[in-house]
Amino acid sequence: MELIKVGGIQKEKAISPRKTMFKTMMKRFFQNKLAVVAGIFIVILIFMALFAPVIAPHDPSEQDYSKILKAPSAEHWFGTDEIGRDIFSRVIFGARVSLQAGLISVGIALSIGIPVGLISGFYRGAVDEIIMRITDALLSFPSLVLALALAAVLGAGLENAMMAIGIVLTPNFIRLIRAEVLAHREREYVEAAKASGLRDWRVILIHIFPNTLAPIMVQATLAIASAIISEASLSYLGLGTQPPTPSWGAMLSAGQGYLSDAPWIAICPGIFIFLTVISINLFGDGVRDMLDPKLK
Amino acid sequence: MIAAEKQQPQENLLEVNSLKKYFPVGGGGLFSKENHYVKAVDDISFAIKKGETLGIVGESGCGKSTMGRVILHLQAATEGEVLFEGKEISQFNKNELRKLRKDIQIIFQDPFGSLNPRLTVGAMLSEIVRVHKIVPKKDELRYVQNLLQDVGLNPEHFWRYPHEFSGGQRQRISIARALAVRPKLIVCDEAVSALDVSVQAQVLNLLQKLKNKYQLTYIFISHDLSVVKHISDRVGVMYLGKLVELADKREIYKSPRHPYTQALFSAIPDVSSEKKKERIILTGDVPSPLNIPSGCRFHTRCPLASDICKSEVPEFREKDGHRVACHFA
Amino acid sequence: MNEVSEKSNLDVKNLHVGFQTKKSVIKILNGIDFSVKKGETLCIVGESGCGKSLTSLSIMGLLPKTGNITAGEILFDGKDLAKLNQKQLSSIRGNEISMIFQEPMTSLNPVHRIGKQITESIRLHQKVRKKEAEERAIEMLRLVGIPSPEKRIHQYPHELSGGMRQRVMIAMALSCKPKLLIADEPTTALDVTIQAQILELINKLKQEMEMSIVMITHDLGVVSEIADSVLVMYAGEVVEYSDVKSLFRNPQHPYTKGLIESIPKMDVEMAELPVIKGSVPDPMEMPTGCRFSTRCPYAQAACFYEVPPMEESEDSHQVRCWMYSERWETIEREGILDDCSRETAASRELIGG
Repeated sequence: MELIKVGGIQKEKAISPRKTMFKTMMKRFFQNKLAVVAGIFIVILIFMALFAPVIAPHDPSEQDYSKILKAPSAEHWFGTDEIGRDIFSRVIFGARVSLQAGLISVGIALSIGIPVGLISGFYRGAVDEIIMRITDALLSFPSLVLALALAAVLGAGLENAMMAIGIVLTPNFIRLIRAEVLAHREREYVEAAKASGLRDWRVILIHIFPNTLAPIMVQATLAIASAIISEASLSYLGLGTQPPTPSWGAMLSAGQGYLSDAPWIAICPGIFIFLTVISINLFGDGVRDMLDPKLK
Repeated sequence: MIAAEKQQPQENLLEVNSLKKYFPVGGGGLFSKENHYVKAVDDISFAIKKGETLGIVGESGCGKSTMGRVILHLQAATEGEVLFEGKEISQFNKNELRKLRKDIQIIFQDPFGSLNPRLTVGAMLSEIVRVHKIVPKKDELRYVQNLLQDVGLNPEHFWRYPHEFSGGQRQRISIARALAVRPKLIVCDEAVSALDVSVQAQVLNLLQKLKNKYQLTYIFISHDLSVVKHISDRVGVMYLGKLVELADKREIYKSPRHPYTQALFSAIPDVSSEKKKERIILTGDVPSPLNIPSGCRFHTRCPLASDICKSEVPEFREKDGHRVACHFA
Repeated sequence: MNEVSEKSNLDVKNLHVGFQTKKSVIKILNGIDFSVKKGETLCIVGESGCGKSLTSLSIMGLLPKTGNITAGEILFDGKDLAKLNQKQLSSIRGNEISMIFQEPMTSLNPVHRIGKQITESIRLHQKVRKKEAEERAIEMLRLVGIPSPEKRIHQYPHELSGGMRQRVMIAMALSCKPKLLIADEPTTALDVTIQAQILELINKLKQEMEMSIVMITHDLGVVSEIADSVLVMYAGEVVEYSDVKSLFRNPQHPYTKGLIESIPKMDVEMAELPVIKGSVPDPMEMPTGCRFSTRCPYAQAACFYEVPPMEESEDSHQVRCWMYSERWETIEREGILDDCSRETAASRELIGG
């Protein structure tokens, strides 16, 4: 057994294993170049949103009728809109609303969807049956109509719009998480965990939940995108952000009418929505890979 | 053997009496009032002594795995009782049940499905140790690393994830998990069936070694007769939810009495004998457990079957410590 | 054994298969040689990961996309299968060479009746009318021992039991009267009593149809029942090639010996089973010398850095092991000398379990 000192294993001994775990996680994330770029973009966006008044060259709601529908120029990088407001400044301020709308409403959906989905899938039976019928009912409405109805009941305003969007997104998450739990609860390692005498909540949280993360992550990043768009629709219908506060969605829908004459009004916020959504997606992929121990 | 039994009736660690597990199927539907059941385990009784290894053999679908899970109370029995150290486990409340989990453990077949891919080996084992408060927190790492050494792994494996191991090593981890709570009884459900022969031999030797070291009792469920014979003291043969024969292993392998056992033994290809054995090739397939034949359930495939077999269920009779359920044995 | 190639049905020579990864090519099969005579059953045995299934897939031209035959020939009826394109291969596949897989449930299409599946495979390769093909299908099902085949052809796969499905698979594989049948673990998913039925059936059909069989299995018991000759593979190489009697009477390679010994025997009782230490090496980290050296109880220094040749040790019995070469005496005398091999020897202890 003296011979054990030779070869690779001794080297492994030398490194503190906990540190290596964190390091390999970081390594796994940084290996995914796209995710890193996406992460940087998201950081920039958040920075933009936080320091909007400092960064923006103009007041986002300042109207200048001498400069209506001007094309992008040195003074107005993204051009101006139909009442002469600077689009670049509005995009920067819009990041505040849109990021909030995306993240908070998905946050609401996740915080209801995860526990309900886990419980529903793990315990089955009557509870599951009731929860599923409710989600069926919610899913049977077109999502925008439902969001409209909820926003109308709750009253106009960004907070209420986010709440409404969050509630509309929830059933999807419940369904998805429940399906994942169902797939995993019959696995032998879950059975083994039960056989080891672990309490139900430990089995759910430690053995089932982490294994359902990957699809949840994908769904969540997609949901952020649709939340940003939904907020725009609600704003368009007067139930979301109230004018003159800019939001990307509202700008996008307002720009629709000028697509042939002044395409930049819609395109600029459109590009930002697109980049944000794709960045969140890629970043989500990176996080998923980071958490997957099978990847080196 | 028999004399010894009479002399000192050793205490039974586990006793199973007329155990039944039925699964409802189809839910009746709108038009059929009848309820259908899969009778996975149908009236099984046996007892197992401390320190003994009881082998259970049978083909797929005979209910052997279900029986294992019912003994662990992972699934509730439909009828009958399971007594562990004289106590009826279906009456246990949550706390008692958790204590039972410390006493009875299970090792599963699939070395890939039975470990949580997201947890390191150490995290998984420490969690169990912590929940059952096996050792004080400061000794946890050492305890788990000792455990890993016990099952032939390195202490360094504590920080590895399951996917970094081969099938044989994973099965060792499963054994470590079962061992972590210092159980009295371990149910091995096809524990070596997914392994290659050379690795299978390693794991069998390990199980044997651990049994001696920790005075374990095994219920060893397998479809592989040669493996069961190697590791068991007594062997039970299951067919369609019933035990058809149960006896000391030498006895049952030397003179199997049930025609099913005879056919089963003759069907194993054996490398050690050059001459081809006399084969009893059974005709037909195992009947569906949904549609169990009347009388003796083996009569549809039995070479000896006569009229009485179709109408009367044979008793599980005992003669010289050898129990068999056949009208002609 | 190689001289008989004129009479042989399948002749695999020096087959190398590699897998393309992002960075490099991983060699999985390293110079496989064997031949199967007409009416002969060859069993390929080995543990998982030794390359036995890959060998059969190469013959069928069914390697996964990243896999490539990097060298060697697969001669079947004088044609080199390794050089044919997919179209030419598919006219041979299912026609002259058929294959049975391990899992009969996944190999049958669940949405088609079994009769249709068999007749389609017949009509794909042979110009017969639907009616004739159906008659042939019924005949085949009867041949494989399925009761009342006229009714069975109208059933779906899920309506049959595992054993029956495997019989259907065999009927389908044999429906074009192939010259060569490749069976990849055909009985592994089945129960012993059903396995006995299927092995009996394969043996009977082989005699009736005069075909050759290449059977892949990890179960030495099955080998002793069905094989004429045996190819023992380890880590992508052939380590022993012999006729079946000679192999079981006198296994020579330490790996083969270990395999046979580690099966629990029905008629002997042992407190402890003999084992082969460790496990199959990773293809990325193959030992430089004999691939079994890291687990071999007899290994000497030379074994760790020199690849042993395949040698004929007795009549129709080849083995790849230094112990059976003329140099063994020298190898044994000289023992472990240089540092390099000492280190290898030391790391061997690490793997031992």
